[in-house]
Amino acid sequence: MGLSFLTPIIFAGLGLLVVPYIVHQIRKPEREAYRFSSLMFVPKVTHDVVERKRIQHPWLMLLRMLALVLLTLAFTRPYWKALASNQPQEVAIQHLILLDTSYGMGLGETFDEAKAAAKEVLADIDSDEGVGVVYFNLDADIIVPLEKAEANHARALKAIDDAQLSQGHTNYARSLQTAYRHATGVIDGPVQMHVVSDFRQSGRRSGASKWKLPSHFELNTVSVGSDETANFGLGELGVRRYPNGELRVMVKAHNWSDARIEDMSVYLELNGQVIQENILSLRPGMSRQTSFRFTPQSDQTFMGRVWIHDESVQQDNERFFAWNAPQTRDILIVQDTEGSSRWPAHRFFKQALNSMAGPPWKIHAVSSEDSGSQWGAGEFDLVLLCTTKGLSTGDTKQLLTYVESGGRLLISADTEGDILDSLGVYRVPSSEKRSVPAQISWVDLGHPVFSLFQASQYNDFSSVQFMQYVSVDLEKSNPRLTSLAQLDNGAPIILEGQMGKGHYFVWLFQNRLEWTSLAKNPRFVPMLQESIDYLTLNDEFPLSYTIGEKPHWENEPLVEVGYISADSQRSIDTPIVCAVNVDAYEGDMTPMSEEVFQLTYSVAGIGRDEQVPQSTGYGLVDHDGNAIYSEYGLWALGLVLMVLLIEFFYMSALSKEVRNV
Amino acid sequence: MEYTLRHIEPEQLATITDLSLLARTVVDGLMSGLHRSPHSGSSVEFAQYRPYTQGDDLRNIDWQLYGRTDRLHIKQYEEETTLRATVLLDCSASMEYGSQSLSKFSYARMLAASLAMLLHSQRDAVGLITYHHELLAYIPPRSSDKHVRRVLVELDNALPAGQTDTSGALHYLGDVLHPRGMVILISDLLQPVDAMVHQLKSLRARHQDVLVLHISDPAERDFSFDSSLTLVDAESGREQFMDPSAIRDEYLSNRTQHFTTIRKACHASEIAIAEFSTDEPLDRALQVFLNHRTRTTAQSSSMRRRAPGGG
Repeated sequence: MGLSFLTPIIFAGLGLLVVPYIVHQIRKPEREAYRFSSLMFVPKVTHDVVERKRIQHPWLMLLRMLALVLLTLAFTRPYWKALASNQPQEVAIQHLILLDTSYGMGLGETFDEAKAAAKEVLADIDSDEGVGVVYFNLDADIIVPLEKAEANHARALKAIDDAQLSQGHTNYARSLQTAYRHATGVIDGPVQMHVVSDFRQSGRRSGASKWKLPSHFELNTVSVGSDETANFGLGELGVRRYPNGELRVMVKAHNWSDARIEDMSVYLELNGQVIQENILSLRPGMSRQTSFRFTPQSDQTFMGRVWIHDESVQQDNERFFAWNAPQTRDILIVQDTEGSSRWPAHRFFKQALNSMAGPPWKIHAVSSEDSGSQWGAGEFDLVLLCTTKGLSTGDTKQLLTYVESGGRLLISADTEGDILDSLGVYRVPSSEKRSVPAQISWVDLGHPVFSLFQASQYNDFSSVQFMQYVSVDLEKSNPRLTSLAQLDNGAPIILEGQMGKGHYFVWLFQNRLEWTSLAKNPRFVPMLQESIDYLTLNDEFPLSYTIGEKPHWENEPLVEVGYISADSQRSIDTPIVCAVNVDAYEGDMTPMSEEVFQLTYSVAGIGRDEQVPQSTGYGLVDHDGNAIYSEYGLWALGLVLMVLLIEFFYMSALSKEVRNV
Repeated sequence: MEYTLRHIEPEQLATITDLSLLARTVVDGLMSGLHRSPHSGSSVEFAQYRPYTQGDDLRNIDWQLYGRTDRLHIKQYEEETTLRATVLLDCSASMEYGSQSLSKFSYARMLAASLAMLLHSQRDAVGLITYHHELLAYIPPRSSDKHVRRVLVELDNALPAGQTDTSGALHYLGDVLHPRGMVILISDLLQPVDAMVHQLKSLRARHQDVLVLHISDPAERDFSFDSSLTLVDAESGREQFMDPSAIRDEYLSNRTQHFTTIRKACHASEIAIAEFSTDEPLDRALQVFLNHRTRTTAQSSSMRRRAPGGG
């Protein structure tokens, strides 16, 4: 230990020392004279003039060089690590070998090197010292528990030999924590953790960054693999369907290396067949999105893959995705009676739902005058109740049972009907408050139904006028009711609530032209369709997973890339296909220095206190204020300032000297 | 006297490489503009008799008068109108400087050539001395065609170099010159004043008619440099970095003082002095010379009329 540097590569910056020297030299030609007939009339100056002194004075040049050296030193982040002097030497040290089995270790011969290195570490451990073996990637897996037994050495050797590469990404913090918990649960003494890994920055990306091993846990880093490798791969992938039926697959290609990548082929494969190829060029350190467009023959489920064809690419050269044909939802519209109105509410609803090409729902219609037993509500994904008027008590009860058992309901309320009372919506008697014409002044743009309208050109709902509406007092209503939209007089106009497993919306108005202009407003159709999507699809699960994640229908985390299928909650008959990928950044081979790893995860000299030491901004101190390690970069920066000040005053002095002549 | 000169700009002259052609061009241009030559009838004319005194040249005794009067008389003539002019050309390194199309040296050389051609065209004798810190060439005054060509060739071969020692050249000239000649000094006068003025006065005391033609460059006159720069003295090689705007006033003051001193000393000794900038036409310099010549001729004639028998 002792003085070391966190970023020694910055020492390359010392090459900049030639700059002041070159400037010093380059300025000399400016001294080339302009030949003049005679200087006999020019007042004599016995010293060089200011300008030349400023540039060419050797001491000034040396001061500038010194400032550059100190600046370079500051950026190399020198530090002094205190020794763990209070480590009990008399106690035998236990050894835990942590073997990195993450996906990135599969690059070239890295994993074989890692196993060989782990065996070397094992060979160096005395037979009377305890030893354990841990595989780690997303988390640590204790293969050979830490035990002081000679037989453990043989088991450890076998475990190292048997180690298999996983598809999980690296998470140093979580793995070290698990290994640490195991070690402290078994023994109470100093432990040396031998971490055999390729030490990539991507492993530090996730996990608790402030957690550190206590001082009696010494980290021994064993680095394997080569830094001389192409460093690029595919990252995040997204699939989106457009209204015209076109599908767009977008994938981000990352170039983490310092070299430019020219004409890299990216292929799209659907159900095992390559259908498109894109050519990409990537500048060093840049990422670029490329997209594939295609129109599926029919709404079918398919499994896709985007990959790079290159022998030198990293482990993340492919990304899987799945596309599931949109599920058709059955919607029951309970129609209102036409009465004197030429345009009853259900006509607007039907027209809005059928306005989409190839709509993802099937519409069934019954009259509100029919008996609820005839509706068969339980068979539908959603019931759209166009009016509350005329509902019998039995119908209301049936609907409530439907909702409680997980049904979805959208109600366009009327002033009459008991269902609102049953749902806990407190209607203000007309004798207390009379509804007056109003307009929408607020909608919850954060709600999924209205998130579509967040853009400034769409979020003004004030053009939606209400001549009549059902006045509701939310304070006296069911507390699980929330308002999604309000009128300019403060009255709620759209409510959302839950009952049992079910979910419902209440539109506190009749969707007729006598009541509101909503049906004529361009916001009506998208608002209705978003509402139905929200009510019927919000229990869908994600279609893409990363290795290590646990889908809700599985008990074990995912360990293999590719595809998995699961039953949809809505459509039992149709399995849903999901894609499983390696973490998007596991392929980032940007190395991390072993010093940084040590400082990130280990605290030496802090005693046995496991609490996180305090960072002072330029080092760490323990709870007694003693330095654990100190960085001197800021001191170097301070010295830079001092040198620059000296240079400035010296320069000023030179100027004065000349002026005084 | 009224002149209507056809001026030839220095830029145009700079394109003529043949010095004799250049000199002829200048002189022809000048002479064609004159209405009347002020130097017509230059010949040996009888003025008066005076009694012979010991030491007089026996060749001047009028023997016919001796035969008639039995007394020795010396026959006196009008002063010889043929001028014996010597041009001193400063060939020091400082003369090499030029911010315009012509350096001071080129300008001075053209001027010298033109003067030689002008004098020759009037059948005057012309000689040449070129010098810097030492004497480079001395050609005594003669009036033959061949001689003028020699002067022009010498001028053509002259190159500016070295430091200035005008007083040395003047001192040498004082030793070799025929009395009552004319000395035309063409120089930038960038040298210590005292020694030079002393030698000029010395020439004047020897009845030499002295004309100083001071050549200067516009950049020397104005010191119109914009930004900081290093100047090197053309003669000494001394370098100095400077901010021209900061020292311009002091420079101009020093320069004015230097040339005022020279001018005053010249005026005090009846030495004609005139300054020419390299951006001025050469004709003006020749015109100054002619004016001076006319004035001095008239003065000497009137002096003789006022003091008959004076020698």
